[in-house]
Amino acid sequence: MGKIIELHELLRKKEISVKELTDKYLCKIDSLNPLLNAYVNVTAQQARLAAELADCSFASANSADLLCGIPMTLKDNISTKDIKTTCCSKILEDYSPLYDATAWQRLKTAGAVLLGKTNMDEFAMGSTTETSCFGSAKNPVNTDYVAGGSSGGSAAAVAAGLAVYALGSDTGGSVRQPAGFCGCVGLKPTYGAVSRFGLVAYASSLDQIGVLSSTVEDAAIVFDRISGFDPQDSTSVSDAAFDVTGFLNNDIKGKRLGIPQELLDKADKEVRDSVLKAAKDLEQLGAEVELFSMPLLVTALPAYYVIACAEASSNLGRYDGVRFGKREKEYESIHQMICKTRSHNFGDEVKKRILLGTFVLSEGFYSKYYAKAQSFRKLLMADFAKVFERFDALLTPTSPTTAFRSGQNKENKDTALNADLCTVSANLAGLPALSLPCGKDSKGLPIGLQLIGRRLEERVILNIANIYEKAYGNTDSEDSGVKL
Amino acid sequence: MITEKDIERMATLAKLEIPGDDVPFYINEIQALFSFARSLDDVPDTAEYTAASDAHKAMRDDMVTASVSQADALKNTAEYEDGFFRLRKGK
Repeated sequence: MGKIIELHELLRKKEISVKELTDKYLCKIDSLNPLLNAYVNVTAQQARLAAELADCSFASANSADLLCGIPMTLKDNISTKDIKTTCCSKILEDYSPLYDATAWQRLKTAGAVLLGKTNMDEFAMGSTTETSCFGSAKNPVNTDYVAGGSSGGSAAAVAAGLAVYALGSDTGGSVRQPAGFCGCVGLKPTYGAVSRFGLVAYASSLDQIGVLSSTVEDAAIVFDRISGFDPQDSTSVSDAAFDVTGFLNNDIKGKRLGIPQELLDKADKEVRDSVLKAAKDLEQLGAEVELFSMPLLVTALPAYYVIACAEASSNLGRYDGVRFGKREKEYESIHQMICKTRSHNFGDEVKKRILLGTFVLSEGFYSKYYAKAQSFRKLLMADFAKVFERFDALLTPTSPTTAFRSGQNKENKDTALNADLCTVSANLAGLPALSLPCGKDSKGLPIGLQLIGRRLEERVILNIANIYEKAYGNTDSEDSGVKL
Repeated sequence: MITEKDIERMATLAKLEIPGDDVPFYINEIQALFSFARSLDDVPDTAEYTAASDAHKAMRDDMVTASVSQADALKNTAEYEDGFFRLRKGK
């Protein structure tokens, strides 16, 4: 059973109040956050107010919402009305949105208790949280290692029991990779399944809000609540009915799973062995697993960088110091004010990606890089369509390696570039994908197993993941089950 | 090959000031990413991907809906005056 239902039952039976539950989480944050740096803003006062309201709901109604009173957190690029949303960038360090993101609004309406905002790479650009202006989040399994990124704070918070679940954002793997590194579940929905209204844009054609949780069931419950049409997001899918929780326990006998050989070959031996072991376990559960070749998957990474940086260079043009965000005080012209504001308040990684994006969109480089990357994207989507005629879902490592040692990426650029190798294809093709734990390496660091599904078929990958987790899921985790 | 001039030209377009000492860093970083993206050379030219598909109903009725108040719109700016964003004139 997931944590959400277990806690809901305790709240419903009045074995604990929402206020007591919230205080326990806030207390744990007080003691562990100085070590983990998972939260960049703890909203204790607002959390206690929300808890009081939720307690009223339990007192007055027989059946409060499943998510009512459940303590959770949001990545700091998801807009929260009158609560700072900094994207972990100096340029937004005093910015408080005027509105709530739709995904957060839906959870708030259900009675969710927001504990605070979590650490991330600056503007979600990175895979370690080391580009955050607040310093990096640490991996709760071993604090010498990174939590992953860019939703590293969200993953660390969930894995350490500092929130029941979290929302993150995933542009090239930023929910799944940290989930894999920290040993929790990370779901990136189909592009358009969850409204992006209120998600601070990095690369708009790739960005998607996702869920991090301890169990597949919890991810499914939260996804059901935040998904669905939103007129405020022009790319929101209008014709989909999700209701994934009803499919979680279906038999997976006969489900056809494909493992792309190219991604397996790029993974470290321990990661590869764990994924193959998980494949065998899934066969035991009735699935049919087959290795196959999909060479385009390896070219996806450069195409992703070109497209993401191009979109970032455009999206981040809005930070001009005029309407919101930091403004340099000393300037001799408006142009100089804009240049100084951006140069002094964006970090190196952000400036690098803006410059790269400007390059690939400029004359002489557009056709060589950007047009090629967009052509590649179309070919990749066609390839996925063919592959999904043969398979119900794909099985891959979430990342080629387990978590990196802190600081390692600065020394080894290839490790940093390849961190998203297995995850970016799902973003380029707009497909749903999730990561769940499938073992640990010899250092005790978690290994993530990724499932990629057909467009709008979240229920299939959640069903397969849930059956696997129930049969073989990690039961020795310190934080498994509900401990109050 | 990325040159110092390229970085300066892109920095101007991107409204960024890159101090001279930092230029070699950006040349190296961007050169590394371009080398990495060399595999795209082999991609055949096809019609480019476009997000506008059946799945994305981008067009909606053009209707006036509630918006933020002037006071709210000015909340996050560094300086404002008489309901306007305020910037000092250049020298």
